[in-house]
Amino acid sequence: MQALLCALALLLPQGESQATPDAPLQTGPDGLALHRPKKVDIAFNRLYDDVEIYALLDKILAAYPKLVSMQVIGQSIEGRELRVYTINNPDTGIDTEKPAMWIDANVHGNEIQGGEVAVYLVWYLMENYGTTERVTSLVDEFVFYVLPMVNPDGRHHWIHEVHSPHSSRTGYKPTDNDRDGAFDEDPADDLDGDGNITMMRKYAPGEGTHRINQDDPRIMERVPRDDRHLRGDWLMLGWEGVDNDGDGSINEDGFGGYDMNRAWPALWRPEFIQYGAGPYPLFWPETRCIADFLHEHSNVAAVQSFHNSGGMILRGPGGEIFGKYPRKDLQVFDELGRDGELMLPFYDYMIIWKDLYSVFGGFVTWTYEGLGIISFTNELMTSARLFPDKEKAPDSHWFDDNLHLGAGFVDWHPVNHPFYGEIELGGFRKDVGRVPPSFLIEEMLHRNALFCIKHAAAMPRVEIKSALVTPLGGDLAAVDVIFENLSLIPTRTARAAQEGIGAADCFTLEGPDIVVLAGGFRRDRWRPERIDLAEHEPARLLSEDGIGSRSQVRLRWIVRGSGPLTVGWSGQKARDVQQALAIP
Amino acid sequence: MLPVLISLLAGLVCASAPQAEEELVVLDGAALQAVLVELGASALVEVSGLGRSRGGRAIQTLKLSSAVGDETARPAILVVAGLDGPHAYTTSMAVSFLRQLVAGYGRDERITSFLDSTTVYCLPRLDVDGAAARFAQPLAEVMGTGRGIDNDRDGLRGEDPPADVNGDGWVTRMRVVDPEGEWIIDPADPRAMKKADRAAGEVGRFKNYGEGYDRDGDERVAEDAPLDAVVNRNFPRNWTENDGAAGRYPTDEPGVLAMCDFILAHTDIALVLAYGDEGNLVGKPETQKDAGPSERGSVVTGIFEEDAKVYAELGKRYRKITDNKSEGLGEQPGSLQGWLYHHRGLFTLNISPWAVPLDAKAKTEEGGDEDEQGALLKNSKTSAEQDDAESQDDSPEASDDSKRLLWLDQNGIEAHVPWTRFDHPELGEVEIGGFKPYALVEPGPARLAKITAVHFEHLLSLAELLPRPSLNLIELQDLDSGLFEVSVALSNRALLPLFSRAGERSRTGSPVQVHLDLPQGAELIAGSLRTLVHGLEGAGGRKELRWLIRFSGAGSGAQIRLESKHAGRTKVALEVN
Ligand SMILES: [Zn+2]
Repeated sequence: MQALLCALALLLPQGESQATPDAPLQTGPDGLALHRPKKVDIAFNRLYDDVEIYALLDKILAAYPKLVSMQVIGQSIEGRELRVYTINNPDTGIDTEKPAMWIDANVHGNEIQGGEVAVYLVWYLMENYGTTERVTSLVDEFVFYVLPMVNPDGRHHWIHEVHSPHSSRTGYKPTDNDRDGAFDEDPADDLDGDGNITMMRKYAPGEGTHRINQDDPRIMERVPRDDRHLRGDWLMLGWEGVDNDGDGSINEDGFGGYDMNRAWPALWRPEFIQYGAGPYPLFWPETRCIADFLHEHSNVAAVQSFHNSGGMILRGPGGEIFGKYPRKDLQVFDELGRDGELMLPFYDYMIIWKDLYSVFGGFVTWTYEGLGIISFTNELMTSARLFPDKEKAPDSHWFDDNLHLGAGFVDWHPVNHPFYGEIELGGFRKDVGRVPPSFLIEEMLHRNALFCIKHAAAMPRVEIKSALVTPLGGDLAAVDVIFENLSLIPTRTARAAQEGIGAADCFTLEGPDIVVLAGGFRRDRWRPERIDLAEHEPARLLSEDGIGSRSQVRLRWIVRGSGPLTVGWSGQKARDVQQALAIP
Repeated sequence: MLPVLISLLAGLVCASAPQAEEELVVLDGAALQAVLVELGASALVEVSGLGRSRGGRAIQTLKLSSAVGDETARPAILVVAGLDGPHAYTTSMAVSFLRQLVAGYGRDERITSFLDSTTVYCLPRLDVDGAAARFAQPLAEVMGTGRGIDNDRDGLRGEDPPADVNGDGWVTRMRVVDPEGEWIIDPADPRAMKKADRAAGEVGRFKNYGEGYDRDGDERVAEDAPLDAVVNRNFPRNWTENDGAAGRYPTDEPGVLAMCDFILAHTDIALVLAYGDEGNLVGKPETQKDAGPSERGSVVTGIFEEDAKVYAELGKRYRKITDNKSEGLGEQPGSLQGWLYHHRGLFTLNISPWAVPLDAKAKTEEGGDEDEQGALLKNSKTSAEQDDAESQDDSPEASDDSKRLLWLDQNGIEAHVPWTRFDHPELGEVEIGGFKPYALVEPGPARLAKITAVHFEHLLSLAELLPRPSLNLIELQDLDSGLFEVSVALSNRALLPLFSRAGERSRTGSPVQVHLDLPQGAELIAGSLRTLVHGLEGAGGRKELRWLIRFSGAGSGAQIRLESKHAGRTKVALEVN
């Protein structure tokens, strides 16, 4: 491995930096203040549309063609590509033989900034490969499968068309949400043509439910219901729109109208229990191609998915009915989650059903419960980042007023509504609230990308700690081997072991002139005779439990014969290891 | 196979009137294909591909509808058969229905009016791969046909399949004397095996394996077949997670995915007939009340009480027509039938057309009449392993298998391969024998023809049960100055409600739309131009709709129009002078 690293370092195009002769030569690592110029320059203070996201990744790929590759794994409803960018060093093996981390984002069309985290992660790993030792060894040892946009259609529409912060969450398969036989016929409408979907309010003196805040006239507040004498002067009429299909409801059948993060086959529940689930799991092509990819890549040993917003590091279960995750796996979740809280100081490590709300058929619950992989969802962006001290922040406008000089708010202004008559429109722009402002983007990207790296570095690494031959007299010998998993994540999660997910780990001994008479896992490190003897095929010992978190597995084989032999471990979630021995 | 094919084709060509066959055989893939080609030649029939199975075999659907009137305004009945390999014979029933409908249209008044009012879709065989085993040598019942899985978790797939060890052409069972054995020979019939009742002091003597080898030396026999995900366990309702036999995910099997999409695309389906291992017309299906309370997100078993009443009446009529006593299984996890009812809200008649009766009596006494009125008999099927005879009294209960053997003997059916000693390469001395594959599933050609005839009668009886709401003008009153009050009643005289309770809950069916069409100059004063009706009870269910309309001049052209996907169309004109 050492020799390989040196060779790679020499290959790096150090002389190609764009530094002019006058500029000071800066060679510090990325992430520090005096870092060197980048090979691929990307502005990490803004968000990009679907075409730009792929263009950025293609630029990184072009600069690092050996380590980055791209494959199209499917197409969205509207024909946009779903691309997986793979980081793998071919010099250390093909991707499927190494543990891999899966990272995706933007399954909810309006929750876009995870796409930029994906770009940043690829960029950071590549820019620091060969210069930051821990990046180099991480990339040499592990693989990253990065899918920046699960829902490129949703992203495209949210960015390029009129939307609110919350619309365009769905994919774009036309869906008859109001069951009138027409599809997507009553979306929100931009009544004033200003490019924003904001809120509608109507002045109704003495007959309203809301009133204007005394200190800030931009803020609407509900009149307390328990006070019969108080009546508001304003009615809130929902999101900007008209009754396009004449059925008496406004905006009730917008584009799409489903939730691709309720479509996964673990604790999946039908539409009438879980909104957005679709008629069957993996109904939409975006979801099905990912499920197939993950089923075909049993080397994936870590999963991270990005959403917005709220500042959360989420794990399952998605429903109380699931019960509890196995204790051993919780220790792994908890250690990563607690590290995450430190790395992402505005985020809380939470359980989906308990601390957020019930989600049936969610993605990361499926990758854990159905695939047995430690998995997190991060909800990016939280107002805690804007108002670290909520007590002192006067109201929701204070930040916008003082740090954007009011640019984020569309102030109330009159409009003539075809149905309601004179009304007013107003509210925050779509890129306020769920995505960070420009000047906070890079910090969000870096912290979350490095949380991915933390998780990736915890993927299992198996070593043979020791392998010893003890002659037992005659032509019999005992072979004692200690296998060790150096990492936090076990080679088989407790969930995988319980449910029989994927292939069991396999401990082997073979030699041309060796007959394996017996073998098994040692129960007692001091007493070699205490062995759980395998009932058959002792040369190929299977273990559903694998090698636990930072744990050892001790085996003893009783063999007859002499000459060379090989002991080894093979499994799906770590690189296989072997060691040659000989019986004299 | 050739003679069968010829007789079928001959039947088609010669049929001048619908006539039940004397015998009906199980169709292999080629024979089914030939019948579909023949049926496709009829102007009434449209054959469509539904893609290919995992094994590459074509899955097909047929649509039967007459050209009289507006065929898009009719409700449809879907007939599904061949949901699993062992039930390959049900395909012959479905195909026979279609042949009789085609032959009888224009000749038989009942069939003609049936097809003029109702579309029939048919999926004659879903598990086309499983059905292939019915015609393979050696003969074996193959339930699993989908993606291969590593059943015994040894890292290998399909390395230890069931096999015809003694080369007699049948994959049956093996019994081996073994101190760990849990089985004994049934004293009631030494051909039958039963589990030792240890509580009653019975000590097991035999191990009871499927016929096969222990090729991987793990002391388990025939435990890892090459293809063993079960097609009809791969639907989304109550799908079993992390069980390879149910597929990697719901709709993993190509035929299952295609079937689901077929259902979604055909919103005119009002009723489904599913011929297979499940049954809900002979026994009383479990209701949600039976299943008890549940937590949020738990899979509720059992049907709604409201729907149970409808099923009870449908069952009564079914039993009267068919006299079938085979209860079939309850809802199975991941089955098409469960998905259709619970998730798509479709009334689904699950029919297990036949099982070996368990009520055969030894010839010593005559008790026929008494027996007929007796309680519904549980006729479970398939392997002896599933039997779990519960004895009511202290005398040892004869196993179900021995009861089956009695009936088979009395009916002259050689269904059992005598236990024969065999020197097994891994297990040593064994006895190989037991029921012949399919012997407990298939009724045999003559009985199948009779069963098919009564089930065709049953099919014909269903058209009039489908909801077809009518519109009746109750009032068209001139209030003054051209202002009219209009009210109509929407009524459903059919047995079936517009939606099952499950359908109302799942919100999957298309609501009926009632449109008010107004001519130039007419103005709506009260009411709505379009009303969605989300529910209407059966057997006289009624709903009134009212409008106030101002007509200036004659109101010619005004009408109220009922549109639906699965419950027909109708309209009523408003004549105002
Ligand atoms: Zn989200």
